[in-house]
Amino acid sequence: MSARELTGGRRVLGAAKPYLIVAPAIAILLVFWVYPIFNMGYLSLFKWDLISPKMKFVGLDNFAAILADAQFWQTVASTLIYTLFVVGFGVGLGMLVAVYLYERTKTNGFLQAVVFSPYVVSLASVALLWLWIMNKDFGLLNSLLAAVGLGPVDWLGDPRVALASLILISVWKSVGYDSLILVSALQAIPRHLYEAARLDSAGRWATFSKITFPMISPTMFFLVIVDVIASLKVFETIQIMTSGGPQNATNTLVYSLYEYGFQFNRVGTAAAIGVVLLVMIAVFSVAYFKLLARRVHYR
Amino acid sequence: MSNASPNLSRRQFLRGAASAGACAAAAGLVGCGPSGASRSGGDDGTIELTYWYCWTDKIKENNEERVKEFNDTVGAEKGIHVTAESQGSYDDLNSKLRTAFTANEEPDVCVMVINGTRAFAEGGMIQPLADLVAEEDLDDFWDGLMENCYSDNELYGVPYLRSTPVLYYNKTLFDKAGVASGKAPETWGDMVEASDALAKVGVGGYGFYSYIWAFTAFAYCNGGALFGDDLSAKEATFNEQPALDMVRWFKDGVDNHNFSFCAGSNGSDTLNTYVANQQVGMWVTSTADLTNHLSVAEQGGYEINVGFIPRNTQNKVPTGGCNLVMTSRVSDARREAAGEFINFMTSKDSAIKNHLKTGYLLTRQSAADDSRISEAYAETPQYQVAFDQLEYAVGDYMNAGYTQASKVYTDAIDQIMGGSPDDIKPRLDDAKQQADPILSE
Repeated sequence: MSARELTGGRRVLGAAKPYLIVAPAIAILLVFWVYPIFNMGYLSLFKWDLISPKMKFVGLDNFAAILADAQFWQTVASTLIYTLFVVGFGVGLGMLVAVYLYERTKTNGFLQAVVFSPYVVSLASVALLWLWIMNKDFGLLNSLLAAVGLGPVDWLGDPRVALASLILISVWKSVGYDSLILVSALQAIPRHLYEAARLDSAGRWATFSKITFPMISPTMFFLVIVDVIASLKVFETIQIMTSGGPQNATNTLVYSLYEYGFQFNRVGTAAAIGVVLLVMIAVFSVAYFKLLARRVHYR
Repeated sequence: MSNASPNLSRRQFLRGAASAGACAAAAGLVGCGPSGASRSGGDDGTIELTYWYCWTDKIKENNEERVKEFNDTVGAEKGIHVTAESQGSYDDLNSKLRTAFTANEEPDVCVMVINGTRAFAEGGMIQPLADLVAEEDLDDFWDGLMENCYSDNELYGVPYLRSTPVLYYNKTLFDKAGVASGKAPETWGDMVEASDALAKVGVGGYGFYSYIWAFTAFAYCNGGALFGDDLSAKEATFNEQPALDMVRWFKDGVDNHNFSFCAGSNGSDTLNTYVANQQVGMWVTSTADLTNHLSVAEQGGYEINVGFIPRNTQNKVPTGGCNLVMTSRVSDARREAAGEFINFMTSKDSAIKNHLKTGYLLTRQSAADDSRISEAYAETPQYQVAFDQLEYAVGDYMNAGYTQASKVYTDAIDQIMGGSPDDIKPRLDDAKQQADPILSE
């Protein structure tokens, strides 16, 4: 009898073991990742101000409202422009710097550290620093321009310039990281490939496009993905430097989400913007993996 | 029975686990009572209260000092202890209050920006206080300060750190430019004259940015209003005659009379740098900034003075700042205790100390005769101006959509000041189209 019960107990335990082991991870995943996503979708169907005890169900009205709002499309456009330029210049300049710093010398090590240093500083401090540098009347940038007879430029106050200013800061911050990663990718390419290419008297371009680029493409792929996601959710610089202004010129999806959710008390609208952002990131990631992953050379 | 498979199937197991989980969750829920009500206090029967306030510097010091005073006197006597917690800006406090309320972690008493009172009252997060505050106290506060304390004819707030916008000017620059000595511009004409004169010494005249509160004041002083005369702000009136002319006047000032417009969302920072570097002669900001501006001026070796918001047709200004409110789950003995605290913080004595420490308004009419006040005014006459202007003060707009609607307006102003004078009317009409649906919800 007792032997039988024991086997019964063991049986349950045996079956439960894998579930018990993964349970904490699954629970955390469900509570902190899966539930919020669904809850956001749920909230996007309501009109609610975070205060009232009653949430009013409005169906897809929040989506209809943002899609009909010219300002929303402006934020989408700003977000995409910001992402395109930050990733393009960040990775592009990172590549140039990486090629320049390719040789392992002492000077290059030092330069590498210098270029990398902005990445270590938090974006909030960087934003405050650039707020001073870009001050129209007393900033460093305009005094440099004045020295060569240019300016003054209202870096953050002119709606035509403000977004470009934010792009500049983000590129400045990310180039170091991108180049660091790319330098190590370059240095990992076996030398004999280049020797072989030289024996075949391949030109510089042929060497780059046939050897260097394919060999570092997994790294490039990684950088583009990481930078795109970081750019799509840019917030700190905007919150600190421009509050989405002037005249909404630097309002991005995440900032307008914050604005609707916590300043205008329209949780439903904020959630609807969140859903749109989620869809954008999802579409981008899937498209990127499907279309470009095939071309990436993995060793 | 015996022919059951040696291992439970995955489905069987998951079903069992799910029901066990549901039981555990149910048991857990039973254990979670409303913690807000049960936080009664220390071992010795002292009632522990939490108080949230905003801002830093002098305002923070003031809050900490008053709370300490309370704990040492009334609190010690009646067994109440208050812990003060700083929460950042008004916006920060409001959003933290909402989340804290959901989590049963809200404070017992907190400051509340006057525009927010109605929304929080309607949402049931704060409670009526009429039975806790004496009638003669309510009569003692200036009328203009009480308007934002009510929602649906019920008293929800008691005036605490309140302010009005005032005109600041750099007296040193005024003297240099030969502007009528030592006097603040009283009318729009005076303001234009002073601004033109300041051009001769190479500085901006009136410096401003797209600041809703200042524009509200100037619209009032032209006999108009941005969002109607009713403080519930049901629709935008900023494109109608007196308010429209006010914007035209500012635009003309920028184009022809040396007004200096600070564009962009960080216009206020730009303006502050101009002020500190003596690049503009006049600007409008809260009375609450007085102490700070005086010390900046002292460090910079110049003198500033204060005047009413210049009138075109009349004097009339909105008020701002915060009231003290009590959250809705505070009851019984805790409620009495929280009432004691609110009364202490807004008493005549506290009102005088708050005023002199921060530059916020002297909220009580009876306090004007106090010797501390007359001495302080003799020494720093700038404080008196804010006090005198109170006669013309009204409440500020309270509408759930007001923040968003006012951003529509300030965005329009930002664009107008950088554009052509012909675009003013169409741009404001357009802004009204955007603002009205927000306000009417």
